[in-house]
Amino acid sequence: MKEGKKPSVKLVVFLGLLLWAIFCFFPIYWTIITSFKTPSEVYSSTPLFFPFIDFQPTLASWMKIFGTGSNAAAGGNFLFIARNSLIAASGGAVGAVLLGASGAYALARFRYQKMSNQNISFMMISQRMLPPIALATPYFVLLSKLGMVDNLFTLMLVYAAMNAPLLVWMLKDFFAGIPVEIEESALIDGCSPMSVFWRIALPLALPGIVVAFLFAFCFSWSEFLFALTLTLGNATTLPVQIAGNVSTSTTGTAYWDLSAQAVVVLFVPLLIAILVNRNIVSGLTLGAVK
Amino acid sequence: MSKLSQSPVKTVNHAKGGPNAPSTFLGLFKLKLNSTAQELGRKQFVKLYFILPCILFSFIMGTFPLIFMVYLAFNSWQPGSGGITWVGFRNFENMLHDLRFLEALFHTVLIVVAAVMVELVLGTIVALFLQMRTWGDRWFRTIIVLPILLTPIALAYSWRMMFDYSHGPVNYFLGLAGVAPLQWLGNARMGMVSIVLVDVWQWTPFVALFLLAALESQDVELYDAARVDGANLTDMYRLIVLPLLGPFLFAMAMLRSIDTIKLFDTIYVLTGGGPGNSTESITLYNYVANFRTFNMGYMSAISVVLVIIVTIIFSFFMRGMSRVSQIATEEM
Repeated sequence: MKEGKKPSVKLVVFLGLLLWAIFCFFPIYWTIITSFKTPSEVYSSTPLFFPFIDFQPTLASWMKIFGTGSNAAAGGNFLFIARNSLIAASGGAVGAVLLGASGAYALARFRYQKMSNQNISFMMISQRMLPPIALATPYFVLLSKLGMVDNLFTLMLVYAAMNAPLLVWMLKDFFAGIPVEIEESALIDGCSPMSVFWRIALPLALPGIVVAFLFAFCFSWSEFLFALTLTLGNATTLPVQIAGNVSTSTTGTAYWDLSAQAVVVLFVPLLIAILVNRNIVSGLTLGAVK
Repeated sequence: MSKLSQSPVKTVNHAKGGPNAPSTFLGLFKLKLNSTAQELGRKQFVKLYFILPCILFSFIMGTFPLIFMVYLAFNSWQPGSGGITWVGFRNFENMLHDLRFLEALFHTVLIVVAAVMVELVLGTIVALFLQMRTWGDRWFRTIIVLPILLTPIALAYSWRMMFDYSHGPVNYFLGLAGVAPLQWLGNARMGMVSIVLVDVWQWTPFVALFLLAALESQDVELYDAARVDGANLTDMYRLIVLPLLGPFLFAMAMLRSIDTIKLFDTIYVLTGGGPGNSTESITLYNYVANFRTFNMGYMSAISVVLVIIVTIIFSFFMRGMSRVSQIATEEM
């Protein structure tokens, strides 16, 4: 709005946004600096806000995580869980991208008669609306029967299923935006539809695919409920580890150690959030608004 | 087939507006790839290859477990203590007498109503602020987005530290303002307030960015025309901007309601449903009773109720969304 150009209004708007931005970022900042504090600094009578001014940062908690220093044993466990998270999230994201890209391509390029495109899309989006807790029970029962509980591969399957519908919605528009003529001329030249998809459509859609992958990775990385109900110890992921440490501690939570772990968990989506920044709204509202 | 072979030249049908048509929620059939008869014959087959993995997967991982859950809801079953026995509607009848369930339902309703209302109001304000350009817009958008994508468990943990009674910054800041320290997580009422506060913190930016996109898709001429007609700033917001946002606000309210009903991670870490079960939401109750008491039949019945509630809201959401996309296509 043009009124915004008045300097006074602009300043008010700036201050308002600044306030909200500080509010948004402060808990994250607090977690980061807590991971560099010693226990006595965490429990000091007034909170210490500024590293190097209020307190001298220490790497003690971080050394525990990465297994050097006195508490290497505890750190080794953390690395194992982080590895689990990484495998489950990337496996789930790859699966979701493969399913989502082929489904999106199909919906963008072909017209289905028996089950119309609209019905297929609706089926996809309604899956996403289901409360995960409603699926957790049947998953647990059925997967225990199959002996697939506490298994990283199972988590990958669940994450692929969880993210595929979202990716179909995200990528459908992306494929539709690619000019169809290139694919057609490849078909004339004798390329099979399958290799048109692999060799032409997929590479052309690469920017969209990358964003889709990052989204799927981020959601799988952060997923908690399925990881909580479907794993025991072998396939535990980072969110389960953190939630467990928060709730089981009886002597008060070891904020400094746990903060370092939380920062590791937050770091991955933080990077992704900066990368996919512009696509977040259209991604999460299924392309309703760009 | 013979009809198609008469036109060997490939044609592309743009169903609506061509390849660069605005992307709308229901704007599906954007491109239709017609080919010569021979290729079409092959493609009929091939096009199933593309969609089948998706459909099969969502059936195995979505529809089938759901059917199994509905089946369990009409049975009594505790794994390890005998088989599955049919009990008809008894699980659903028991729900009406289960005080803990009713309380959990009440907590969920409270959290949803409070959180969604605050998010819509604050989200609108932040969106209007973002729309008026100021210094460092890009930075604000980047920072504001963070709570949406970051791991909810870790963020809830951050807030748990923030809310710490004697060492947390929240009570420290309150102290600076002359307010006595509060038991943020220690009692029922404050526990609910904390949960709502964290949800608002996390999701207001999402509402704001959605509404911002809606505002920016709107015609600037409308504002100019209003100003020429002598409207002042308040009138413009009251008479033009807010009515235009109406359908978007409705759609967002539905979407946020669904997501807040599903809220689990934040409550699990923040209060764990406590003290006692005074902040226990329906999802948390479902989880606790399911995976700690293993009363599978009863809990499946609760899941069925949850799915029905979400489905009803979802149908409103879809209706709202088709209205939104109608507006979007009219304007483009």
